[in-house]
Amino acid sequence: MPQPASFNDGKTAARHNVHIEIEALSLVISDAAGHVMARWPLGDIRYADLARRTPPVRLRCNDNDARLNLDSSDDGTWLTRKCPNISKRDTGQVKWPTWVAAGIFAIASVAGIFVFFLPAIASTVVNFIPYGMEQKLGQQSRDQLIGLAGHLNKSNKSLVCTSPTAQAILDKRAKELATLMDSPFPITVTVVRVPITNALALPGGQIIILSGLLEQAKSGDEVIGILAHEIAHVVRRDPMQVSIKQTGAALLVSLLIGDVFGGAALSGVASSVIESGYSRDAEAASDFLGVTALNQLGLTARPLADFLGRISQGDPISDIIPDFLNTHPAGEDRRDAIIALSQENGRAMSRYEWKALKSMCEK
Amino acid sequence: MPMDQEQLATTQPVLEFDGKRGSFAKLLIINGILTILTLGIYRFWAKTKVRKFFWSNVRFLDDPLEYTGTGGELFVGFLIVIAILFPMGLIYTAIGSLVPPDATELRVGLEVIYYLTIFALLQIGFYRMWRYRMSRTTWRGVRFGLDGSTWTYLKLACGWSILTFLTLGAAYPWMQVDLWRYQVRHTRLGSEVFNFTGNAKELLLPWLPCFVAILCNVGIMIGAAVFFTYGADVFGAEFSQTEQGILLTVVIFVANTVGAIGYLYFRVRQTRMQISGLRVGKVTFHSSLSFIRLFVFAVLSLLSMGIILSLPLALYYVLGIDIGVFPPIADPQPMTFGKAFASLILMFISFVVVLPFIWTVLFGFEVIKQMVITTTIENPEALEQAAQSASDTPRTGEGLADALDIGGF
Repeated sequence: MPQPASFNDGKTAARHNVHIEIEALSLVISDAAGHVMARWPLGDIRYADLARRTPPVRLRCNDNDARLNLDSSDDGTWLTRKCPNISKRDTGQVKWPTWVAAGIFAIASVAGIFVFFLPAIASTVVNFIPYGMEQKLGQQSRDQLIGLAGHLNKSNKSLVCTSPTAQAILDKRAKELATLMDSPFPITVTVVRVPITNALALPGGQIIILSGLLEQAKSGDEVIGILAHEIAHVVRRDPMQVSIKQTGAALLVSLLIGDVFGGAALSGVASSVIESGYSRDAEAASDFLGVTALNQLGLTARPLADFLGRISQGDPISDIIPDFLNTHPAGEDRRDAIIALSQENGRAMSRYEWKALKSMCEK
Repeated sequence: MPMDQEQLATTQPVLEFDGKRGSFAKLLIINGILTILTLGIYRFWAKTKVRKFFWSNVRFLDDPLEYTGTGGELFVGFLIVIAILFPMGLIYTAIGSLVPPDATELRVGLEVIYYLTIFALLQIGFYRMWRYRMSRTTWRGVRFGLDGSTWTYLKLACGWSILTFLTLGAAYPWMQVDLWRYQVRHTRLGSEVFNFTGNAKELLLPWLPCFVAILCNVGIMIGAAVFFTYGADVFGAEFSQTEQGILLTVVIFVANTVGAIGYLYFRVRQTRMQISGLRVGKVTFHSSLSFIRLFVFAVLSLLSMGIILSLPLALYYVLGIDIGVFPPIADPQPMTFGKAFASLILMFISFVVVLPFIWTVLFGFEVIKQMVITTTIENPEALEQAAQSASDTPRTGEGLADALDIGGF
């Protein structure tokens, strides 16, 4: 029993009134005069537009341009239930191998950018950055960091810890170490009241010691050992390289996420997670540089090794992250290397000075 | 049968819109959830679904438009553009880091180059986006298409933009008409090329409020600069400094409100002009898009957005229900990290997810619906002779437009 329908042959936008009928395994489309206009194999018939399922039903044959529009009173079930691929999706002009290739290429290039390209760019670009500019940047990020620390500071005590005795010994040792390492920057050491066991080197000779580190330290030699290590980072311009890498990473993340997601705001956070910290090589090189300077000053580096050993044992993150992914060399490796390098036995400060340093943030 | 068809053509509107706001809202919600879950990657497929929705709900001579693009095409196009844009961005960053911070002129020059590049990319992205969309739009199985050269369009857009900038916006209506003319004259349905006969004359008066608003803003920027540099002498010495500050704020507010409403009116008139000037052989178009209706919907949308936005505040300060994001009322202390983070998330969801959703469902949907149902077409049957064109179509999606987030849907 032929059904009325309208047909667009895919060659022009004319509307042909046709009759359609299933014959063997094909749908035969014939015009009013009875001429066959098209013969569609049932297996190739699909909905023209999956987004529109309300009558009139519109059909096509594979990816051809021709369209068949059933009569609006015809729900088409007599036909569609005999078409096995009726709901098959449009594959578009991009076929799946292109897809897979593009996906793999994209993932590989993003990974490549993070692992090889950004570090290489950073270590090259850093040589072109004037020292004066890095110093200004360092002062800015020091102020920002102290501002950020203000949110963590719940007590009424001042954010930056002060003690003339402690600051004097820190500055004295910092100056000696920086001179021995040929630092292009004068070193500024700031002790900030944040209960986290850490010390950081910022670009341009700014070094921040957090009060949590002073609490954990058992002697002034440990603190000066860490100071030497951080000054080595400053001399190697590692902090500057990290901030260049972070800029690149932020750019990439914001491009990838797109603006739909307020990307610009998120990318800062995401990139600092992805690109924070130094590489294992940078850490090992800074240990070497720092301990060599300590040796030249006649100071012992063993307390630095002890401190690192103590910290890495209590560090849950180091236990979770596999060694090869962790940018910091395992505490034990670093400790052994430092002990092997250390040659001297001198103490970094007097008992009185250590007491002042230890209690610097208690006031 | 021919009798029936003739009757159909005379009694029924030529262009119809079948979309339901409810199903559009449902589509957007599902899209939104999937986009968030996939960290934004789903947005290409989401866009495709929205386009399929609108296209398939527009019927011309009783047959719907069809969008044949896929999310995969958009995604691949985007990846290709990323591969080009990223190194460019990196080079710019590298150059930027070479310039010392105190070399102000060099810095400003670099900024200018940056924004000019972005501007040029936006124009290229727009034209390529239009080309992709046209190639993926079919009616009765015949593909639309966009010819013309992206570079010619870019040159045209740059020239007009410079002129518009120099004339403080006075040349804007002419720019809009000229760019639209280029775009339309290279658009075709199969073999049938569109033409455009409109001109900028009827847009000059509608543009006036916006132009005045621009002049006010420029004037006020100068005024504010004077105000902050020399103190209380913008409105004369009889006003105190506080009064002058208030006056400036009021003038800015009034100018920008008038400007915003004026801009909506201008866009309505512009759309009318753009549609009414369309020709394809004997086929002529006419639009009677109503400003009042769209204005009401814009106000409704903004009101709903305002209500939704103030809901958590009302809950907290009126009813005392704390959803964990506000500082205590009685004992104002610095916010804890947890609360600051929670309010940041709430703000993010409000501004990035909820507000655009309301705006699109209420206003965006209405704009498209009204544009379709207020358009009448004379001699539409002439378009039935359009023949399929064999010219090449772009293989991948809009790329640049996606990376730069232009084009709305």
